Amino acid sequence: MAKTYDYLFKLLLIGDSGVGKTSILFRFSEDAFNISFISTIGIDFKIRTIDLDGKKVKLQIWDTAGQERFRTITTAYYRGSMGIMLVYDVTNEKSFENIKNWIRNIEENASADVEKMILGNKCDLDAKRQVSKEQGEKLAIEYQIKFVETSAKDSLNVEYAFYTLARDIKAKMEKKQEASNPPGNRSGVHTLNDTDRKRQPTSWLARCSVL
Amino acid sequence: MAALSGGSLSVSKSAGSRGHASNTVSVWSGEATISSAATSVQERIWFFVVTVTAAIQKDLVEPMPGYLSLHQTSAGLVIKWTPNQLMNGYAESEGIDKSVYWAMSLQVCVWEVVYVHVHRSQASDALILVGQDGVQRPPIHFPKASIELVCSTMRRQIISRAFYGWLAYCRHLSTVRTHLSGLVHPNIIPRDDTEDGLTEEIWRSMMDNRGVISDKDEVYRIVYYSGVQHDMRREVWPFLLGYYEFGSTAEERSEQDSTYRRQYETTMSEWLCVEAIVRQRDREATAASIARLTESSGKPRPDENESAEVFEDDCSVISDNPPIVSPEPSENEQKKTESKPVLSRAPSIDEVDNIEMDSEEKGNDDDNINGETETSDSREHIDIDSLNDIDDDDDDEEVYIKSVVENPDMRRESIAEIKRLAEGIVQKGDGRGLLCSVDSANGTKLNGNDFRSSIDESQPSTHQQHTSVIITNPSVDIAPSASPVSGGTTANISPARSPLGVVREESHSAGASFDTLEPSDARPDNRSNCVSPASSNGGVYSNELVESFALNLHRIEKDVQRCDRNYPFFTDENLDKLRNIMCTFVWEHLEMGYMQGMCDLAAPLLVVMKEEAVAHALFSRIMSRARDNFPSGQAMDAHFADMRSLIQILDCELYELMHAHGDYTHFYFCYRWFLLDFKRELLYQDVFSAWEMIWVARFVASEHMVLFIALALLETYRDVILANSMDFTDIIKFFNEMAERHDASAVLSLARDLVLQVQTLIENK
Repeated sequence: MAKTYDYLFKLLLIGDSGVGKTSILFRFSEDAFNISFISTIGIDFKIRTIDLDGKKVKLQIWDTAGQERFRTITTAYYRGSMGIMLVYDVTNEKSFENIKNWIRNIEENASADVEKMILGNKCDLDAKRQVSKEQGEKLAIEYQIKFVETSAKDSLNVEYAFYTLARDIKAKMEKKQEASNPPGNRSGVHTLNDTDRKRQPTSWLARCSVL
Repeated sequence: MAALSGGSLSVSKSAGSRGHASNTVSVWSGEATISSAATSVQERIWFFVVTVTAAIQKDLVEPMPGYLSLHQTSAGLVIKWTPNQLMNGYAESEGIDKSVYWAMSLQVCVWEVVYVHVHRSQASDALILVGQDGVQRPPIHFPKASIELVCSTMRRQIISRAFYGWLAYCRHLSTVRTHLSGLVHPNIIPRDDTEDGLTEEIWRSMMDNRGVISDKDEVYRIVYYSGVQHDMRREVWPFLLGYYEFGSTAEERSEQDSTYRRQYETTMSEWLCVEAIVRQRDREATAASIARLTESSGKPRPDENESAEVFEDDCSVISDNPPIVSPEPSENEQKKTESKPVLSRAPSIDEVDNIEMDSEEKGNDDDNINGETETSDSREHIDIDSLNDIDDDDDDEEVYIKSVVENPDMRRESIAEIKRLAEGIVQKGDGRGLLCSVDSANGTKLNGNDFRSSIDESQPSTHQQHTSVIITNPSVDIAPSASPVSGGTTANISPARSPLGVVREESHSAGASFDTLEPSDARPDNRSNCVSPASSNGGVYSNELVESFALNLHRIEKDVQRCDRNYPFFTDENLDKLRNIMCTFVWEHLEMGYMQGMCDLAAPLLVVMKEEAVAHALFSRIMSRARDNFPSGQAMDAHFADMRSLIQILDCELYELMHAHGDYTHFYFCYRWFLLDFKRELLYQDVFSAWEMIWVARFVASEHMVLFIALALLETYRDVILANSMDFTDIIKFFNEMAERHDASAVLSLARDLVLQVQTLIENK
């Protein structure tokens, strides 16, 4: 029986309420944007299968309620996640400041080797911006997490973000597999080697807003 | 693991010359669970007979000793025989290659056995199991004369095992049933067959000439089974939620409404004060952060030379907080502040009494919004020279004060300003007070910055005017305000990039007051003289209060903007009402604060009741029960536990499926259902039906109607769930996708049937 996918990755979107998690998810899974989105209550998820280096990767992306009150419920979903997107709103400084708390939340509740990524959403609203891209980058460097500014509305960098996260997870997974195989058994599995890593910075610091 | 009981039987060595080893037959019965490495399936061993030999291979002369056991697997009963050498604890087991012995072990599925042959000989009795295919299994030798004993012991033990298992199960069910009996009322109220539910005709027929309805049980019964006709909901719902009492007259209710409305408005005016402060702080914070941003990115700061101008008024009232006006850098047509700011002062109590508010009855609205709407013709502010001095008692001066300003924020801040500056603040409970029924919309536009929304396009909707109490300082240029709406040219819009914190350009808005701009090193406390919630005689707001309210305000606004935007009722104006209801409630329950989901609970009430104050009343009543469902309370876990019990009793097949897939968190697909009383799962019209049924069910059939509706949803789709062997993830996805696509009346009807089922079950205990 042909499988419809080779890998299943469980991803999670977290961040303050109103930063755009649902919009990002919707943009990625349905390629649509609706300004009248309803606030997320409880938990929901969407699926999208992508192609990564010839493998079909099914992404099961969980969307959570952002308000802190609901955190105990949402943390139940941290453990199974392989990748977590931390989202803040560039027009809302508080949401950016809270990223640290979210990171701490991850450290306490998710598995140790979960892949993370920081998204500064709503970068299309340059006029209302409260957090500069530099600030975002600085935070990301501090925590050694990848960072990109996105706009779910204008469909900027959303695909990129998910693909990158998925690729990182896949690479890590394959590296682990490789490690457990006896040496000499490498069959051309692609891993992110150092040259690749060096190449990364330019791509994930890609400019979002054109000034 | 159950206790082992067993007996042992020794049989003497047979007299046979073949030299069998003496065999001890020990019969154990017990329940043990083993995980077999070979099958990795859990099995229950029912029976265990030790040291029974079997002859496996034809060419083997001597039968091998081994263990015979009876296992219960998910597939059925299995008889196994295992050579001693493979058993744990066998002395020589270390160095042996076990695969040979594994090859010899026996495994027979009981259901495949068609015949059992017993061969009796001198030496031993042998049992041969013959399968359907005619294959004979190798004989299992029992020591002489032990086979009957073994069999009878086995039989006895199996029966007793079965019995105790059944007994335990029954006890368990009984416990569950007792628990469940708490979920339903014992009395079964007979069906109602009114097709259209509670219609106007029926309602009026139940009412006497004073408007008294006494037969509440009948009302409950009808509504439970057939609902309320939509046109009647507005009248009936306040009864169902206990806001109106059965037995009250129409007059009493009307008075109750007025009182409540006044109270509501008074409360509103309290938090509006604080909101003004919050806005101010927000503006400063934003300006500061933008300043940082522009600075760090090297952009030239606009208008750096402009300094804050401090204006002082003669009025002694404002000694604490000299107003600071910072002129606007211009992107738009705002003039520089050469004009002095308007100091608006609140009138004294007497003056307030003289203020005529536009009557609440003057609804000119097509949507019948009573209480809060006004005509939209603007009126000029009256230049009140005589109100310079706050101590003046301009008693008889009828001050028609009507805000020309269409921006509700302006109005509110005017009011706030008034309150702040006045000495004798309006007493709470006076009713009239400084009423600001701020009902109209344009809520997205905020002086300075759009804190609320990512909704960029604010609609300049038609909005209603409201009375606000604003008194202009004669020195101010009074001009009718230009349209303050989006793109507006007035002070309502302050460019975001003002570096010094922004204040409205009052001169452009007649009658507008200005905010007291906090200097950046402002005292953190004692910001205003507004009425605090604690005292009605004026007080100060502590910083904590302001911050707490600020936090909640931001949360409320984020959620209000996103609430039901696809539903036509929710114009900006009505969203504003929703916001007011929410803010008022949160103000009254600041310790609880705003939680996501509260908007969803309030919205349908507003749609039906249309009027803010009464919607707020009903919302408060709903929240008194609903608050426990939120994370701060314990109710959600109780609901999940109850669901488990219900499913276990009423649908064990479904229960097995859910049980197989794991733990309690799997009921999280019900989370949103219980939190919002199914508001997101159903279309609006169906939400109304579901809600009124839930409310009256408390009196008719069950205080936990939500559980039964949840169960009904599960039962409606049980075939799909079972057929796809859905796990937690699948179920969540399924129900999230089915939202608003349910056949609500079928589900609600099934819910009632399920209640009846449990009631019957308990009755027949």
